[in-house]
Amino acid sequence: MKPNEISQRDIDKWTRSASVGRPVEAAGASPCDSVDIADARKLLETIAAKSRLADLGEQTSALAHELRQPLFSIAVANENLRLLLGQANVAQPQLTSAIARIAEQVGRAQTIIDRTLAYASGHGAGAVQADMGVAASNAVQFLKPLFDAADIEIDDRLARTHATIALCQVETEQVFVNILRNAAESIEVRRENGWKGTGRIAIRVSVVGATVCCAVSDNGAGLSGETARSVFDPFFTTKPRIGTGLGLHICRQILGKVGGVVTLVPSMDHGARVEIELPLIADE
Amino acid sequence: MREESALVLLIDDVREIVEELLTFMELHGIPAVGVSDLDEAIIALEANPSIRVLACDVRLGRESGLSIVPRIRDHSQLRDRPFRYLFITGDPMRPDAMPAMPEHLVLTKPVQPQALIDVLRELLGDVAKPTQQEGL
Repeated sequence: MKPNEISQRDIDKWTRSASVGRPVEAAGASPCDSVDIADARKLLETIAAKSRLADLGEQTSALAHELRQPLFSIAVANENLRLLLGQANVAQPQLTSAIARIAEQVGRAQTIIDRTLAYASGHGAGAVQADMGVAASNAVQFLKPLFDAADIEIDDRLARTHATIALCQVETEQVFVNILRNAAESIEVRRENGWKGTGRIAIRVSVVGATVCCAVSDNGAGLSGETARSVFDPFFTTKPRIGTGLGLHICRQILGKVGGVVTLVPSMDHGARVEIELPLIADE
Repeated sequence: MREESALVLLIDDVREIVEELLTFMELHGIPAVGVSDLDEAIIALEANPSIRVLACDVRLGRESGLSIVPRIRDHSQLRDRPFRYLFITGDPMRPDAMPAMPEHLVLTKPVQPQALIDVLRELLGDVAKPTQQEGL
């Protein structure tokens, strides 16, 4: 089995474990069928890790596009350097400029790779403290190729708020990635129905007393109240050919670990808004 | 933006690529101008009547580079000029919806520099002869 595949065994265990920290003993189930708290938490980590790898897989094409830009710059700068070195009266500043451009573009490619692998590998999963504003920004950066390709404008000016919560950084980023990806897909659905407007997603993070409040709103196709209530169920999906149907469920599970809540508010017209509330903690 | 004898217009929203390509083409003796979006492209075409070849990135931020074709067709002064088109894309797996297109060539990033020069020379015909530096 590939590492990013979610097995039937995962699905069975996950379905029995309706909420982390609250083991479910199905009527008539044998003791070995029950899922205790430690198992449930381990299972959440496993499913979340596999979901991140699935995210990475879906990003592959966009990442390839993003990496081709610095590679092209490097290829041309390298050729320019070769041509300049063949000139009799080569100007030192031109050589220096070409060399600097190559180094700069190698750095850009490295940044793209590091950012991607940090998300997929779960780097930072050990420290149980995250900054919501940083997580929102990192998630936007991770999905930037997707937003560029789908022609979606992101407004995260009100998300740059320092707010510390008791989750791992990568988990928090995964929450944002899942929510933002759903918003982008909703915009795509609206376009498939003939809409030609500009797709927009806005992220706002604020601190109200001892609570961090976050809202992610989009102008996509929206959804019915009934669908809004079901989207956090495991394996619920409106797009069975893509995704795992676990994105928003994982969000709720992750946030639930620290007493956070997430709700999806359908709009009367178009679009939807996901609202998150989490307890704030003191910086260590 | 005006280059007295510019033959090629480069359109790419990545500033570093435009800068390197302009240097590259200068080293090969092909006069060119570079811009980062379609509005600038139209202005550059108006200002440089000698431009005959457009080398255009397919994805220009939120614009499609392919839209340069209808922009020129709808332009009262530009539509009668005989442009030749080269599109450069970093995303061959996601072809954009193609409007009714004139004859054009497509290269995939990262384009090998010599392949780019060969294609541009082909599109320019006999105007741009190889320089001495090519043998280096």
